[in-house]
Amino acid sequence: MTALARAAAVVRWIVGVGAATAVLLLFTLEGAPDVPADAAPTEVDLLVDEGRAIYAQRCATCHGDAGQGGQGPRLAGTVIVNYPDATDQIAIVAGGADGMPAFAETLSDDEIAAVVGFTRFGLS
Amino acid sequence: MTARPAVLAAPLAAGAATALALGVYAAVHEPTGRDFVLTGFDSAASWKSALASITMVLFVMQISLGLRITGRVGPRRPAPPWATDLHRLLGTIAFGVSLPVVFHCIWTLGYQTTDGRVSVHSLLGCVAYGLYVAKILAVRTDDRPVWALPLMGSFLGFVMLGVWWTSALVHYAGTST
Ligand code: HEC
Repeated sequence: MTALARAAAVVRWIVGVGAATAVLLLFTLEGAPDVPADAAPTEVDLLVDEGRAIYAQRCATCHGDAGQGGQGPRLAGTVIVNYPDATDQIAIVAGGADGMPAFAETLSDDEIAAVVGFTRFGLS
Repeated sequence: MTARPAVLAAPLAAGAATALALGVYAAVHEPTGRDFVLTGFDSAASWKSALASITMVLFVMQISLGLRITGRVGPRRPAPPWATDLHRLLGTIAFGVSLPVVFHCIWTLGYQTTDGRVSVHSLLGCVAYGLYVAKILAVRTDDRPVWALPLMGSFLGFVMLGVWWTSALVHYAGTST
């Protein structure tokens, strides 16, 4: 067996174990702590509810009632992907973009955080 | 050795099952949205793009080695035996490097169809792993037709190109402007 073939065999083992671990993790790793259905509303729930109201008032005309997009781009399901870091998304809402008004003057920091939270966790 | 195309049925079925299983998992599993960022990178998109690009480079080498092994390019004599070993080694590394990426894709984000790019990416991603499984099983199948591996390999290369194009390339195009 050549050195290369030996290396290939070793790497095959390592990758095989890695793949098996990944499959195992897919089914066992907890994404987020499970919230029992009857649990008292969490801080995130309250934030999302506040955000929902602001969204309907300020954002829905352009981004659609359900965040499906319209004059502005779709937000439902996309913001988490486009803005892995929520602060980048907050920056857009506060500072505006091409065709998108800046909300830094009209909304408080908490309100911006709430509406951003709603677009991330309340739209799907 | 008489070629019997029918021997490919089992590898292809296993590949189809793999693609389907990945797609079903990604669609059914509630996306966790939980990022894990590898050290040295500032976002999931950047480490994923980097790893995906490494696999892309490896794939180009794989296609070249494949062409050499099957005698399509290079001198008119059989490829040295190490070409096959290297092909196997690099292929395994490419698969290994892609694992964290696909894990983030299907565990954190899930199968998505929000727009054309995302739909194509989700579909091709599943197909790519199906092809990979079909190909590594076909390698171990006796009596396979000579065209089986080159065909599956090139197909895999093109599908991977599509997967990379609809993700890493878009990421780099978006961040460089
Ligand atoms: C006048 C229409 C309009 C309103 C009102 C509006 N937006 Fe936008 N929004 C846009 C447009 C247009 C873009 C695209 C900007 C670009 O491409 O540069 C955008 C982009 C965005 C983005 C980035 C999307 C992405 O995928 O890159 C986010 C996040 C966003 N808006 C959130 C909000 C929120 C939250 C509100 C309410 C507080 C809001 N928008 C209100 C028009 C609007």
